[in-house]
Amino acid sequence: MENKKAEFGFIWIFAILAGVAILLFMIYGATKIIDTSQVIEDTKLAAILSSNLDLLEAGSAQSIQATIRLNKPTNLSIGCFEVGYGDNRIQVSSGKSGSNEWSTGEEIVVSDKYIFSDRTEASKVLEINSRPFSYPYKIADLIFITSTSYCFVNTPSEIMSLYSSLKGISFDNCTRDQTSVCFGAYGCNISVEGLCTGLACNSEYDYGTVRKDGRSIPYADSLLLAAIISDSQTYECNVKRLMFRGGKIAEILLAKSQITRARGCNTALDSYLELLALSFPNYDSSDFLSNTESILEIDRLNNQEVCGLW
Amino acid sequence: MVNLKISKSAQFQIQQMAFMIIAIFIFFALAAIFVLQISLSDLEGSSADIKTEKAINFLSTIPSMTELSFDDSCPNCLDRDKLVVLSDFGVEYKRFFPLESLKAFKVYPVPEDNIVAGELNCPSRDCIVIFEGSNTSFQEYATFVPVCTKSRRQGILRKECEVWKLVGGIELRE
Repeated sequence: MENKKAEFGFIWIFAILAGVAILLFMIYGATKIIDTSQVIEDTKLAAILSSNLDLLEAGSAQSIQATIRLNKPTNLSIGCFEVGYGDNRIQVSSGKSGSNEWSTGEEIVVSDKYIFSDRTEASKVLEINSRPFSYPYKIADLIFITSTSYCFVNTPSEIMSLYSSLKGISFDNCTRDQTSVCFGAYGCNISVEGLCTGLACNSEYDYGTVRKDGRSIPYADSLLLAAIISDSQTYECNVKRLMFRGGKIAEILLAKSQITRARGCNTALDSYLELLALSFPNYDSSDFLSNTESILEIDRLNNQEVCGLW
Repeated sequence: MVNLKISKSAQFQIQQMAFMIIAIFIFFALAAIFVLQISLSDLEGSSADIKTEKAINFLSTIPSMTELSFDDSCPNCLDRDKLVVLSDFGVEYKRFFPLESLKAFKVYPVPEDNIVAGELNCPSRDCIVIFEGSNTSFQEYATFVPVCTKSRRQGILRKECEVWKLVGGIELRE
C-alpha cells in the first residue's frame, strides 16, 4: 500500500516537473518568435522606406516632400559608411507593446542615397524633404529626414523662397518646442553665416558656415539644410560620399566632351573637369569655404557655352 | 518479490510518461517548424516584392542622374554620349546601382543596320550594355526613354532624340 502511494507520488512529481519544463520551454519559444517577428517588422519597415526613397528624390523638381505617419513611436537611425561611393544604413527600432523595451531591426544598406538626419529620431511622424545638390553640376538628390520642427529667424528672401514650402520649417514667431535658426545673427540654437560675396554668387548664403553645438560646419548649396538638421558625423561622411561621386561625374563629363567635340560641340571646361576629378575625392566640408566661388564660376562658364556639358 | 513488481510497474509508467512527453515535444516542434516555414516563405516573398519595387523605382529615377541625364530642356531624357561613356565605368557603377544588369537599346527609329537574324546585335551602336549580370537567373524590368544627342553645325545647335528601351535586371533567388 505504502509502495503504491510512493509510486503514485513519484509519477505526479515527475509529470508536474516535466509539464512545467515543457510549459516554460513553450513560453520561451513563443516570446522568441514574437521578438523575432518584431525584428522582422522593423527590418521590413526600413526596407520599404529605402525602396520608397527613390520616389521621394527631387529629380528634376526643385524639392519634394512627404510625411510618414507610423502607428507607434519609432527610432530611425541612419548610419554612414564613407569609403568610395559609400552607403547609408537605415535601421528602425520600435517600442515593444506592453513594455519599455525596444526591438531593433537589421540594417538596410542603400548606396545610391544621401540621407541626412539626426542619428536617432524617435517619433510617430517623420518629415522627409528632398533637394538636389549641385557643385557645379548636379551630383545627387539629398534626402532630409527629421521629426524636429525648425524656426528660421531673420531669413533672407532667397532662402525663404527655397525653403518656405518645406514641412517642419516655419519663419519667425518661434514657439518654445522649435529649434531656432538665425541667419546672420546670434542668439538662436543654430546660426548660419553666409560668406559668398563674389560676382558669381546668387546669394550671400550660396556657401558659408552653420554654427551649432559649439561647432562650425561649412556648407555649400543645399547642404545648408543638411548641416542644420544632421549630426556632424553623418554630415561629414555624406559630404565625402557626395564629393567622391562628384569626381566620377567629372570623369564622365570629361569623356563626353571628347565625343561631342567630333560633332562641333567644343568646350573650354576640360582642364576644370580634370581638376575636379582629381580634387573632389579628397574633399571635406572645409573645402567649400575656399573653393565654392570658383565652382560657381565654372557653372557660369558652362551656361555660356553653346552645347553645355551639363 | 512484491517490491520488485511495484517498482517494475512504476518504471513502466515513468517510461510511458517519458514517451508521451517526447511525443508532445516533437508534436509542438513540428508545429513550430510548420509555422516558421510559412512565415519564412512570406518573408522571402515580401523581400522579392521590395527588391522589384526598388528596381522599378530606380529605373524611373535614372533620367534625373547627372551620370546619364541630357540637359534641363528635357528632364526625362538620357544622353546617348553619357550612355556610351558609362559603359566604360560599368564595373564601378554596378556596385553603386541597386541592379544586377543595365542595358539600353534603340526602339525607334528601327535599328535596321544592327539586326541580325531578327534580333538586335548587342552590344552595338544601337544597343549599349552598361553592366551585365554575373548571375544567370535574374528578372528584367524595362522602361521607354527618349535618348538624345547634341551637335553643332554652322554655329547652330541641333538636338536629336530617339526612343530607346532601358532594361534593368534584378537577381532572382531560387
